[in-house]
Amino acid sequence: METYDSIVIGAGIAGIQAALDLADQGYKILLVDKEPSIGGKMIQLSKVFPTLDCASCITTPKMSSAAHHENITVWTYCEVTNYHENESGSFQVNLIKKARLVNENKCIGCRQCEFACPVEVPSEFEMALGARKAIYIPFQTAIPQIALLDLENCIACGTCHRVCPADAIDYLQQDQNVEIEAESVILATGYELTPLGEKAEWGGGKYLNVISSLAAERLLAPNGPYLGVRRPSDNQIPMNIAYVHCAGSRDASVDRTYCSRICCMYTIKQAMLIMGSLPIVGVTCYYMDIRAFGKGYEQFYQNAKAMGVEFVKGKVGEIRENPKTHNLILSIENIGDSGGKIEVEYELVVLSLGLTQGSCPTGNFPVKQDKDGFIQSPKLKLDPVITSMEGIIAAGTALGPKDIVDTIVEGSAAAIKTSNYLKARQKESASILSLGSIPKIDNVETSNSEE
Amino acid sequence: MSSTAVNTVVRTEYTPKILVITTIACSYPGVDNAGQQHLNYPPNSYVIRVPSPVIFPEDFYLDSFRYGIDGILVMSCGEECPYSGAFHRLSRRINKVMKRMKDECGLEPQRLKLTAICTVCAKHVVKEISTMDTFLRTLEPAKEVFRSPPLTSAETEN
Amino acid sequence: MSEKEETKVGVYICHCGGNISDIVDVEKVRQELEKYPNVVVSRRNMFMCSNAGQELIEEDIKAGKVNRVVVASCSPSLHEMTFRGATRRGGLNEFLYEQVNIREQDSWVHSHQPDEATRKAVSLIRGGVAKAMQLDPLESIKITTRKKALVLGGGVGGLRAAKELAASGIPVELVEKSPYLGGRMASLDTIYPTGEVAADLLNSLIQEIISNSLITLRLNTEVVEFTGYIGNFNVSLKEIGSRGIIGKLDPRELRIAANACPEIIPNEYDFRGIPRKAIGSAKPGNYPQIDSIDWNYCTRCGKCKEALENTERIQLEISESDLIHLTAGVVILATGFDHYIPYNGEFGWEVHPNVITLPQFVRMMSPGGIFEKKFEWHGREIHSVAIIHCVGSRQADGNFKPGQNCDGMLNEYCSRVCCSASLQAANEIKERFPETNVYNIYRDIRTYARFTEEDYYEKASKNGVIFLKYNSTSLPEVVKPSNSLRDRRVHIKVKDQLTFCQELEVPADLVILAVGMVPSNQKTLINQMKVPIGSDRFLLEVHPKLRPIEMASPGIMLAGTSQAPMDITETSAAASAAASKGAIILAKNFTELEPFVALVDPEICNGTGLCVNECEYMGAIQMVDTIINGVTIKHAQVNAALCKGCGACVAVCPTPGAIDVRGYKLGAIKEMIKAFVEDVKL
Repeated sequence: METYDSIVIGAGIAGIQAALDLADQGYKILLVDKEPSIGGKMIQLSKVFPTLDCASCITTPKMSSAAHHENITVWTYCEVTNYHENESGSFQVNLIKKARLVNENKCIGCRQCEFACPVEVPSEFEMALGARKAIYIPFQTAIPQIALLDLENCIACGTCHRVCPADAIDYLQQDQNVEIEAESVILATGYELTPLGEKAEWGGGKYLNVISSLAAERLLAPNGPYLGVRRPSDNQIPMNIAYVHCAGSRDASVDRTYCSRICCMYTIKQAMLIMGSLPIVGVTCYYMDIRAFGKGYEQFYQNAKAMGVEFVKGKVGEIRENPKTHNLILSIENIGDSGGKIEVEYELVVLSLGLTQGSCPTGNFPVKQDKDGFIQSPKLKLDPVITSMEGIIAAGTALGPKDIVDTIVEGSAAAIKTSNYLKARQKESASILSLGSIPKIDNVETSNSEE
Repeated sequence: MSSTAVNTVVRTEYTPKILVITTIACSYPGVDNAGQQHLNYPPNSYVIRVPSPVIFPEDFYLDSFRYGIDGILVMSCGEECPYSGAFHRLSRRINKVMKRMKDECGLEPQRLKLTAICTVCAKHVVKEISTMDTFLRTLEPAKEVFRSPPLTSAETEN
Repeated sequence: MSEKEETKVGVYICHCGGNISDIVDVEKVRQELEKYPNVVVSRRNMFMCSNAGQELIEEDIKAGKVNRVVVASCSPSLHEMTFRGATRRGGLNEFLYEQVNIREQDSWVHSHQPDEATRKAVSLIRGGVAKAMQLDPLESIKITTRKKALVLGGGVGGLRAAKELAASGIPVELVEKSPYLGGRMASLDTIYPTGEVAADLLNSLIQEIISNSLITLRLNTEVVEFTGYIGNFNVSLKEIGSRGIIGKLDPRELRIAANACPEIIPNEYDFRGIPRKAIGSAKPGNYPQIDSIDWNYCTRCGKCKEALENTERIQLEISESDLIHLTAGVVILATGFDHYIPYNGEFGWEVHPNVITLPQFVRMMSPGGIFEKKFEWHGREIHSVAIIHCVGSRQADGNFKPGQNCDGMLNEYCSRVCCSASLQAANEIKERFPETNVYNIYRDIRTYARFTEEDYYEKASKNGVIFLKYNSTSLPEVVKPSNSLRDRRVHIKVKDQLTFCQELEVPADLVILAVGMVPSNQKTLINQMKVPIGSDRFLLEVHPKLRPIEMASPGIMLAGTSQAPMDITETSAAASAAASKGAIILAKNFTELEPFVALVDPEICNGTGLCVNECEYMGAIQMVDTIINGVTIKHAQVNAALCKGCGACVAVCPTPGAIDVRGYKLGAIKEMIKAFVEDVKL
């Protein structure tokens, strides 16, 4: 059985940072992700606030460092199924390596199969605004650059097999069960966006031109599906755009009362990027409170106002679609200057969706979750990354919504908590060896012994 | 381009050579990205990769033209440059070189261009190289236009 | 390898299973390269990255056929490491390898022009060969490191960082300027959102710190000199003077001494709310629980000593301590923040006696504070409290003036914690003194932290706290009502955005200004350490996302509010992250840096010093004297630990070959360009 000092579950920016910090100290890390590429949500973004760096330029170097690190093993398209703790207190973890139907050792990432494949289906990476093939590399900067075949959409025409120069297509490949042993676990399972169609009165998922903020990110990305911001119904440049803040957050009617922390800022960023590339387009943001609280964020908000982005304190009640033009009519309860109920027509509406817990926030480990679904921090103030279980540390949005800066910082914080746990365990086992019995150790640096 | 209106006839027999200076952090991956998307740009373009173009002295650009390069695209990281102060030094230097190209060597300063390219700016890469290529084809080869400047570093070196 | 050895280049061309060879005529390219000067081997393979392909390279090196390797294949981002590995396994220095990108930058972009693509492949590989001819073997730069961390600041950030570092087995010097550990957190009562008592949390943390033999505590101590670089920072420290009280005074003695003291000073702990004397006691969150004399205010009049019959336990002579010199491998800056001090007249500050700040109010509500049992102000019951948000924060786009401790600058940033803290205070008033009217006069409510939206903002509404919203262009005014001279209250005029900009006037017995954070006054330290600050005057990280807690000088990290406003949770995470970076640097007794830094050839250097002026990185390059053959020569010298390899120095050097960035020699790049312009006849 392969053994590791730590298994990091989730290879988004939090997991990557935690893995890099531990590996740089010399620990052997297994970094796994359920998706076919590492990079998480961040690699999907256009630019990041408040510096407006291109997201790919920040993420790809870290992805590549992790992939090339001598102490990090990366397994993508791989999920934890269960685990048990063995006598020594380490974790025996069962994983399933899902079949890509492409031999990972042979594939050279040339995408010949992808070009030749006759099947087109909506691309997950492009938030269904673009297409991908049934056999595909998830996106241009994916790591690893290895194709996978989506069996559900494959028509078994055999084209990919014929064109592959490396004979890598393996239609008979099976899911593979693997067991590994790890001394510790880091949960960096991330988040999902709140559902687009959650509030029926806003028509998300029903009206073509009501899109999610992540779809808007793809529209704004330099490598996005269209040549800039176009609305889905007719591929035209929308002349006015409304953003609805707090969609899925701070809303008891959808049973999600917490603030998602990042939606105000990414909305401001998107509005700025739109105004920057299409100065004639009007962008209006309907908000409850603008929460621009991080370093440089308030200044960023002020810049957006100066650029002409309109911010209106108000609640969007209902969105109706004009069936002819596919424009959208918003009824708004204006709380700002003049007040009153108004109706305004927009050509595109973006719902600034909030963050909810990832599909499996606990990574299949029985750590405690809070009432909001995110992983509980029993010592929120002084040790925010520890969980209810010894030897299991968490990082990033698995612990609640947060922005990229805070997530990366938590990745490093999780790394030192883990390495200190490993060091204390080492000391413990050394003293067991020297004493020949199991001593009580008071000063062990772990989550539970501090209670 | 209006200043070169005399050369409106595009010289098809001559293929200009474009030197593309890229950075490890941003523009080299950006040029790669154009390849990953199988976009097309003129093949008479040669990419070199450095930490930052701030490394090149003024004479480097003039020497390159003298060797036979017809146009130079400096694809920097722009404001996102990982080295403090480098982009501003670079942009000041490029301005100086353009002046010297005109004054000392009789070269059109538009043969040199400073741009900022990010890791996924594939379309910009294509546009910049194509535009430079089209422009250079309206000119004489740099080597033929080149008026020998005062002794450069390369000559003292050899 | 001796310089005399003949340079023999091996060229290896990859088909990439057709990705290259379907467009580029690889055989023609191979033949062309075989004819090229200094190329001794020219081969092609279906997959150079395969084991078989790599073995071709290894065998040629082992057989002594080649001593430079050029692989023409995909982008170096994919396989540079692969082929460096093959070069190394063959027995050659891995940096004698050059990769030429003929896939992403040739076959894939010129698929419609196969002839041109072939021609270009030849030119690019010739360029690679020309560069390979100039390559030097390189070794990564090893810097020995001193396994010790210096943590500056004894607040929660510094304590958390010290704890993690010590748990990693790293000896820590924890230096605090004041006589006490605990920092700003020591002044808090209960903290959001957990409701824990700050002093309890601090005490348990401090107990861990003082019982840890790896941590050396240095209170009352400042930095006087700072030099060095990652792994080897040399620091001189000075004890600012002892606490002035030896042993312990009992409470009665302390009261007598304090009564005798003529110096009435602002009480920083209670935020100037209740004045204190220059001799005083420690507060609940502080460590050590020992009384002290504040030397900033003590005039050494001796009255306290006299009042206690000239007790020897009071020592008024400060003995200047000797300098303490130490070397640390890493430094963590946890120097914290100060509370914003409003300018006189800002929202009635120092004009109306019933205007106080939120930190003052927190002390007054705490056990032992004046509001512990009765909610009275100057003997009159408080019926109405107004909390004004964003005082000293978000000062842009309006009629703002700089506060007293802001160096004449406006604070454009949001201070992050004040909304939650204000609502916590509002709820506490409502819960302990339910008859009180509480008005929150705000711009945006930013209860973003976990549970604060529900447990403070929503709860405040349920508790009947009243919200009024102002904007930056019409600030609330705190005025004395003109109709009654006997009215002790003030009125706050607000243009309320929530009621369609109605002009409202609310009465208040007490006005609480939710003051923001400003960077703590660390100008001397910043100058000594030469660390950068941002336009907000907080310490500046290298990059908010790539390296969010590291400073531009390697080995110096940030932990907490020295970098930006943060709450305790965020400070703890940042401190742990800073410790993580420290632990990485000190994991071995050396740290390895990439070899791509500038290098001076002292025999060629003319000593003009132009490079020194051009360098952005303090200490990375300097002029030194070296004796060569009995003659003293002045020349530039690079400190590899500080050089970033940007090459700014190379561009300004008037002497060719005197300075180069390793791996990117100017001469080598010129040779490449000469090769690009050579004709290709196919």
